[in-house]
Amino acid sequence: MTLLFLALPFVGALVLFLLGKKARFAQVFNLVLQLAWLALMFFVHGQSREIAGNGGFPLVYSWKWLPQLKSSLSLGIDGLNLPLLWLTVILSLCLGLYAYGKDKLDGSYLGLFSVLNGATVGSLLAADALAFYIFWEFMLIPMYFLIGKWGSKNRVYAALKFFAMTMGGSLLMLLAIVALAFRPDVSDLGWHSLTQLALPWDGQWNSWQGLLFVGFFAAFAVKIPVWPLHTWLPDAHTEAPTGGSVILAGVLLKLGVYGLLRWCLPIVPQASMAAAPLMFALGVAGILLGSFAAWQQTDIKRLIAYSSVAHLGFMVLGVFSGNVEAMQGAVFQNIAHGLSTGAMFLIFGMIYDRTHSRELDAYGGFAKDHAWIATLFLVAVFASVGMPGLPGFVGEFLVLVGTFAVAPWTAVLASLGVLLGAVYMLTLVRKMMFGPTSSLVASHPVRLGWNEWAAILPLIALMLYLGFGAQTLLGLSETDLRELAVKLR
Amino acid sequence: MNSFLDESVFTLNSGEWRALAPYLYLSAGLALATIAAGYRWSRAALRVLATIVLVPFMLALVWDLRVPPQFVFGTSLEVNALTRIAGALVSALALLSAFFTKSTEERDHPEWLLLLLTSVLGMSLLPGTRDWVSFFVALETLSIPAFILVALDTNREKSLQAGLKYLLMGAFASAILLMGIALFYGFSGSLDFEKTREMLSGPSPVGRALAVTAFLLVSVSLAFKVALAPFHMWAADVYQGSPTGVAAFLGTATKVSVFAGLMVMLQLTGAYALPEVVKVLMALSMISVVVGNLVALAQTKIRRMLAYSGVANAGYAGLAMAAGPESMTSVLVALGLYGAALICVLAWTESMISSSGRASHEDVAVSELGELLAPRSAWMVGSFALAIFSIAGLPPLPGFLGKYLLLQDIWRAGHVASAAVLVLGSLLGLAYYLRLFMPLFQAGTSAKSGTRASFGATFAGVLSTILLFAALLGFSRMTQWVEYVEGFAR
Repeated sequence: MTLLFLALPFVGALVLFLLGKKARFAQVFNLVLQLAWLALMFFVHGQSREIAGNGGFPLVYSWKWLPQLKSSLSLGIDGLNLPLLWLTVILSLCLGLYAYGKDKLDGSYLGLFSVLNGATVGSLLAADALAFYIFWEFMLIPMYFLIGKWGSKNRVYAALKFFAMTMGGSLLMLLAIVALAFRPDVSDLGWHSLTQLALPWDGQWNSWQGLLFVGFFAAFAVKIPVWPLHTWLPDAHTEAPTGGSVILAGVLLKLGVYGLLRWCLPIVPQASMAAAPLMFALGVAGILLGSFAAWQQTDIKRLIAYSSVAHLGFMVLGVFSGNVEAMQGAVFQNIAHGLSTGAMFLIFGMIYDRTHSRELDAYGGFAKDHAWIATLFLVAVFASVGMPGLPGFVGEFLVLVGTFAVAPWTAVLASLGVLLGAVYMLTLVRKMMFGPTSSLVASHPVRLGWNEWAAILPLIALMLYLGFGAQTLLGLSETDLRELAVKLR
Repeated sequence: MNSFLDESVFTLNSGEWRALAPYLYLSAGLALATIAAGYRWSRAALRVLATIVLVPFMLALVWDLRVPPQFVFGTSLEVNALTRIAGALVSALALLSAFFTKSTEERDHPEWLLLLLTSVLGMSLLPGTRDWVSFFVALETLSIPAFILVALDTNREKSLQAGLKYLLMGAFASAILLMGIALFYGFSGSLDFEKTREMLSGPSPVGRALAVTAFLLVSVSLAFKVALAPFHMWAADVYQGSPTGVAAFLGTATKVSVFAGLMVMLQLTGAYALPEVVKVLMALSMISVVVGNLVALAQTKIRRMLAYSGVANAGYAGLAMAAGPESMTSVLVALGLYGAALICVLAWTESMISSSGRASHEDVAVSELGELLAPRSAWMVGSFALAIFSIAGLPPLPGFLGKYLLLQDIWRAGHVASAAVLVLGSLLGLAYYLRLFMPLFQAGTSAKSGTRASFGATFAGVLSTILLFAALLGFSRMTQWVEYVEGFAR
């Protein structure tokens, strides 16, 4: 069943490519495909309910694909990847709804999206380092085309920058994996054998653990992105088409955090913890500099993009604090940020489709005639800012509590970020939604279709659900993270 | 000793007949192709003939894979599993190329099939040769038709120019090879690989410096054949000037055959024990990777770019070759995957060009690719992109797995510098492969469909795409199989 879940997007993509320029057929087929995928997700969840969340990353499928390279295609499910799988499936269904009726988003676009989805869940499910790497790199190809072909003005530059930086980081991870594979004591590249390795650590960075850490961290740091490797993100987010921005912010960045928790920390625990002070510095730098940068933006998509840099800084703190609370916060924030930023990009994308302007100054008084859209956008903004009752609060609070226990001053500095987040986000809302109605807003009324409402509402509902019922999500990953925390000590 | 002068060599026993049978079938097909050329058969009929000759040849070789090795004509030729597998690979690549080989004159040159099959015969025998004379004969059998194939478009200056360039440089390469062989004969008094090895490893190694010189001469000549830098100067002109199918054939099948032949020769003559020879091969390969990738960056035309990417890819295989005879499997697998992907790229290029109503020999500028790709179906563009990314070595495409195998063997041999060159070269290569798609991003979506795409090219494109996918899913099975078969040959 899990294999079918993984294969369906790839098979669906072939059909979507075949439909090609028949955009309407492709969109309808894509909706059916996404619904079928959602149904499969329920099955996958049902099947893994007993095993997930008990630790140990249980395998649900394994096939000796590349025994010569000590690798197999094995898939596992636990509390760390299950929520992200849900997030991917839900966001892509919402994007399918959003794409409906837009002639430009034809079969090739939807097909590439489907390939991207397949590669994403592949790297989430992979329980083998080489299989993980293969899926991880595979995500680049469709994204390169999505940004390059369907993006806005600077798309070619943004696509190439995104590709080059991510590839550069990933190549170091490949070297780390190859080096592991060539070790005589590594019988296979499966997660279970790699995490059992217990490589020696003597504080030297040119030792096995040190170099492997650099390799793995480089790939994940570019993806997250950790300051100062974040420069591809504002360009890619801004130039990407709406769907691309949503998936980038909602899912792809999260894979960086996931990768750290899944691969980097368990394989090289001591080196990771030794690097923690540096990571705290980089995380705080990301939070503060990202916030200030966001504050200064006049381009709305760029502002949201920089807010991602800041929020992802919290997750870096959470991951490297090494205690259960902080890591749980990071995992929770992963989902919360995926929902809130995804929703913001999605709603703004719908507005942009009508107004064709990303200039913040061109907007004003939007809320007057569009009370409902403004309300929904505001919910997403509050979720992002960390308003209690919405999920952003739970994630950031846990991260700060966990970090405070380890590095109090880091936590103090980071909590400034929460304040700054409110400043730049509320500035955005004030300038865009309130004040005198600008000519742009007055001349381009935004009337959403049924499919667009249907795309936003599930995200808002999920945010409210998670804000009040955080325990469902927190409980899921607790055992897995407890195991990890023991390793890190 | 000097068995080819002995009369008993020419009476074959049943085992020898059995081993030779596929090659005799190919020769019979060759005779038929001569007749076909004389009667000016149509292009379609020639393609059918190519299929009828090459498919059974290939199947027969694969069928016989587990038949024990058999010496034919004394000890000149050994038909073993490796000979067969290389022959099957070569004929598969030749068949794919045959589907879009055509000359661009109004008047076809039906002799292309005859030339192609002759070249295939030479290629499939080269890895089985066990003395210097048959080695030379096989090499010339594969090269001489190639010279003519390149110059097949007699009305086109570019084609003639490429043919002449290839011929002149090929003549020099042959002369250098003969010089090397003469040296071997001079110090060992025999033309057998075995005798060469005995002289080298004997109690008093005679003329070590002489042997090294001889190996270097031979290596230079073969480096020319596979376009290792700095002996790659012909590659860009030949890729650009010759008919597309010929470029595909020469760019893929030659590499498989010559690399296999070279590795077998190096192993049997004991050249791997000479560090000088290994170092020179490694240096040639490193230069190829660097030069190929750097020069490819500067190219504006697609086929010239592919030619230099071919130089770089020969370099990757060469690095593994220099790592030792154990890398035979990975070299064969990597070159086979490269071949399938290159044919896919060339076939789609040909198909795009013919459907846009241009003359098919025209080399397209990278900047024009956008308007050529934009009106085509998503499947075709996707297949083209996957083949390009496979050559680039991006996961999850099979080309990545091929390169990984090469890297593994290089690493095992302890050649850290080679491994670094391979990785950095691949990264550098990404730049020009990715650049191919930028015009597509800028192109408008205005569909401008021209004439119907060439059937042969489309067919070859689809077939090679299927092969690539099959190779991806069945990668381990395929590699295990090659390894098993190749182990059988040792």
